[in-house]
Amino acid sequence: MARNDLQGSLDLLVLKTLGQRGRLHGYGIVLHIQRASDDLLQVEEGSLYPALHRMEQSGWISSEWALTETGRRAKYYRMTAVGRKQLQEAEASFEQLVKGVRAMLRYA
Amino acid sequence: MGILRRIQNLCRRGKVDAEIEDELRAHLEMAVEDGVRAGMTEEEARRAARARFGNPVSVKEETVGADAVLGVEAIWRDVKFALRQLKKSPGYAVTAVLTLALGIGATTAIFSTMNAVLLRTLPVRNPQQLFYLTHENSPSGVGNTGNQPWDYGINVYDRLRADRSVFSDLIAFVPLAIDKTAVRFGNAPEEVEADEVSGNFFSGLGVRMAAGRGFTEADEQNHTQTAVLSYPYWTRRFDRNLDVIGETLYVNGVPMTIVGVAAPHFYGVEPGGLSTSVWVPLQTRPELNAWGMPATDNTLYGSPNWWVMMLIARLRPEVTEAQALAAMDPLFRRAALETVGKDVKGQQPPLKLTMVAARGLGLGDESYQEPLHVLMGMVALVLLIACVNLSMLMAARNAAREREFAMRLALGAGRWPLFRQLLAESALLVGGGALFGWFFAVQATKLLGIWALLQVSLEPDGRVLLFTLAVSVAAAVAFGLAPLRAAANAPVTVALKSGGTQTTENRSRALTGKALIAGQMALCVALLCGAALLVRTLRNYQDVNLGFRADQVLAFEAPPVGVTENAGKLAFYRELTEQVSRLPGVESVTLAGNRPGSEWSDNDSLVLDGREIPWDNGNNMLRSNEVGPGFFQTLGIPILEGRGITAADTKGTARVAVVNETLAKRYLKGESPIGHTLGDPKRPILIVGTVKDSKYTSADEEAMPMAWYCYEQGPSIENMDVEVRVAGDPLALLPEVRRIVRGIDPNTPINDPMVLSAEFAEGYAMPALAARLGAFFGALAALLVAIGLYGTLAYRVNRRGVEIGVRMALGAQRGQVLWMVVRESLALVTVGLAVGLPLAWFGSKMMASMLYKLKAHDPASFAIAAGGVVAIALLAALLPARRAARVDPMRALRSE
Repeated sequence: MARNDLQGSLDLLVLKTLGQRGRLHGYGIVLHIQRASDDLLQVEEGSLYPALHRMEQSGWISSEWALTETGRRAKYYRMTAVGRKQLQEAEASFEQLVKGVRAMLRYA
Repeated sequence: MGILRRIQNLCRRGKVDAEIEDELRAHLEMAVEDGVRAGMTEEEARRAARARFGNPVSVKEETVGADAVLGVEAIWRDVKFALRQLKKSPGYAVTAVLTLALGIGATTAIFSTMNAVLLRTLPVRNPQQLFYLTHENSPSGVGNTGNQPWDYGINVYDRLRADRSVFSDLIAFVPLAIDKTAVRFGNAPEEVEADEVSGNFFSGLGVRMAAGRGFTEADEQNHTQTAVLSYPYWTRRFDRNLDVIGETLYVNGVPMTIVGVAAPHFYGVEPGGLSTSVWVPLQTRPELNAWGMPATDNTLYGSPNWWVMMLIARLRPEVTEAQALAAMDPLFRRAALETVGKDVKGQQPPLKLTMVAARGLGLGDESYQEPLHVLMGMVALVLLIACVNLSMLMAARNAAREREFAMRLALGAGRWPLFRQLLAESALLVGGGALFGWFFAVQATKLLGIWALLQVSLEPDGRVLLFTLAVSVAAAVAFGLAPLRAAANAPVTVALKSGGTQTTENRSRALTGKALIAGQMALCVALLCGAALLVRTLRNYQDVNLGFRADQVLAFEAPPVGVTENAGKLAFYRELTEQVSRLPGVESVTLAGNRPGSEWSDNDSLVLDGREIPWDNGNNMLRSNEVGPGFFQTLGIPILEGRGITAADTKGTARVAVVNETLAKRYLKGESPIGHTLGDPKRPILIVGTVKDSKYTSADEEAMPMAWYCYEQGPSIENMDVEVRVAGDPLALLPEVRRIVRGIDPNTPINDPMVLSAEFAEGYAMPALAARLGAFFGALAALLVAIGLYGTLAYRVNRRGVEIGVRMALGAQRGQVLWMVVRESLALVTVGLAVGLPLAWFGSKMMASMLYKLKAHDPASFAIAAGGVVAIALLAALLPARRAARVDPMRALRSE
């Protein structure tokens, strides 16, 4: 994923990931996005954490510390009700964007 | 997450930091583990993970930033840093804060005055619904108090208030005296402003009561002997003692039970900045007649043709001003017609109902609007000049810190944080300036209130506070632009490369500086021109020849309390004048129904030799005054022919009058008026003397026909003003006068004692105030411009030290160097004048109506303004020029 990508789409990907996978830590989110997008999308890890913390400030996600399968302490994130609503909105507006861009591209 | 959590985060900063570090470390470790699992060595895996992750330190910083989105901490850090920076240069900080305090304070004070005079609504429920009722013209045969547009008769009031279609309430109020009313609580008599009012006064206006109750309809119907005190009076006189409710207050000797105290900020509704201390319900007793007039002439309830009530209407919520007027105008005409008993329809010019919004002083803005707008404009210019000065100062300071900025940028600091820090500095300065400015404004408005002779408080309120905040924010943003330039333009490489001194300076920056100075000078020219016009106007007022010598005359009022019949009043005034005339230093004593200079007058149609001269819109009006013996001698008005009023003219002798030369010239073709008569042919008044023209109501009045009658010979004796010609200081006589008055009647107060010339000066209090403020603003602007110019020139001379050294080494004479600097200053002033004089030309047009005996384009004022800025330019250039001329070429060259 290009560096100067729209912040909105990173938020969308994170929310969608948490919606599909429930509870997940930052590294897990990176891996999931990579896997689910067939390696098409690469989250820049440096920009993930500021985004996660910002989303937590906005109340879209909540966090807790827990142990990973390998016994490591990691911070896990989970989507809140506000986040779920935000996800719906973000998905809808993304669909709109895609539709619009596609229409533009097909316009003869 | 709420702001609380953010602030909490701030306090637990260490813990949050550690948490973020843990989180990021866990991420990296997991990535390394996966790498190793995929077959990399740990070394390789770690390097790959780091490469994908980016710089952990900056990721951490960004994440911390996300946790404190509002940047409370960042702001606090910036403020602390700015404070440290300002502490390093206290001179700069103090100059900036003081300049801002003066600029913002003066602006706030003037706006506060404008707010009180023009904008502020009454402190009552839904004040925007309240309107004074006024009218154009009166039915013929109707008398009034001299304030014709505002006056209504009681029958008209009753008719209008019965109609509730557009007014939800119609409130009436009448002063109990032209000036103040005698009241007594216990044994202490004093004079306060008192009104008699309709029963719905407090309820209809929507005034909250601070204590007790207001009036009711029953209070008005039964004319109950009750009184409500104003909060300021309750505070001043009774120390907010609740026990006074139920006590007796004697008003003109009539006992009234105090039933309530009105809300704290309610000063009454008298238009013109007057406050009211005591209200009583409408009364029928002769002692409490409207305006303190003798009940033998007219009474509030008994004389339908005597219009003396002022009315204030509360519009129904959905009714507009225009709708209300459309509905009430026909009703008013009919009511006026029927109560007066003449055909008003045929009246020329016709009657017309008008309304004035009850806001500010409630005068419909006429007399104060323009002066206040002009003063507001002037003070805004001063503030602008001050801001320009400061931004130049700031730019100079930032230029000196350019190397520091460049260094910080080179070391990796962002431009945004740099800008934020500079902005924090400006915000601190503006904040400090605004705070001091506010205190300054609070004090200044007190002074302004005294100077403008306004009884209402001009103190800043919430609206003014908003205004001040807005001005401060605007100033802070304006300054923000200066540091923005500094932060954005700081050239990293150039600034670091170049040495400590520069031989050449940045061209565009120098040009901007010059443009700013020239702009300031242009504004200063306009300001000085306005100030000169205002001051010269005041001089013209002061130079008016009153036609008599007013500075040695003491005037005071001593209304005999409780005396209503003529004989008693006559005895009182005879005794009083007799005793005062025996005091040492007193040359003569006399009486006057209307004090000269007080703007009150008796006005009638002129009836000469039994023939009434057509009114002609007041052009043929006869002004008159009832006076005592020795009037002309006491005031020093020269008698041209015949005699003045003497003690021999009494009730028993033929009625006499003295007229002025204008009357003789205009209506008798210069023929001697002696032997002609004035007034009703059945009871003619014989003219026995002619006097030289003199000013009567105010200093700026035009000469007009004037007659003086003997007060003893009139149908009734009103309360008289006493005039005393004194050899020494007139006011020094007061203690003796008080002693005499107390001896004759202990209840009688002394009212408004002052030197007669001061009474005339009160007539031009507003022009005097405008002149003082104008001069103050002009001086302030001149000072600021001088400081700005001096600073700039000195700075440039400093920076051009080497250049000057080279010039001198090559043979330039000291005089030439001196001239070089002065010429630069003069070039700036030339540009300033070229822009400023046209500006002043347009500006002065706007203040035309404030000028007296002066044209808006008064050449002298323009010359003063132009001379003023040239003088500023020369003075400000002198020191830097001399320093330049003293540059030692050898030292200047060696320093490079």
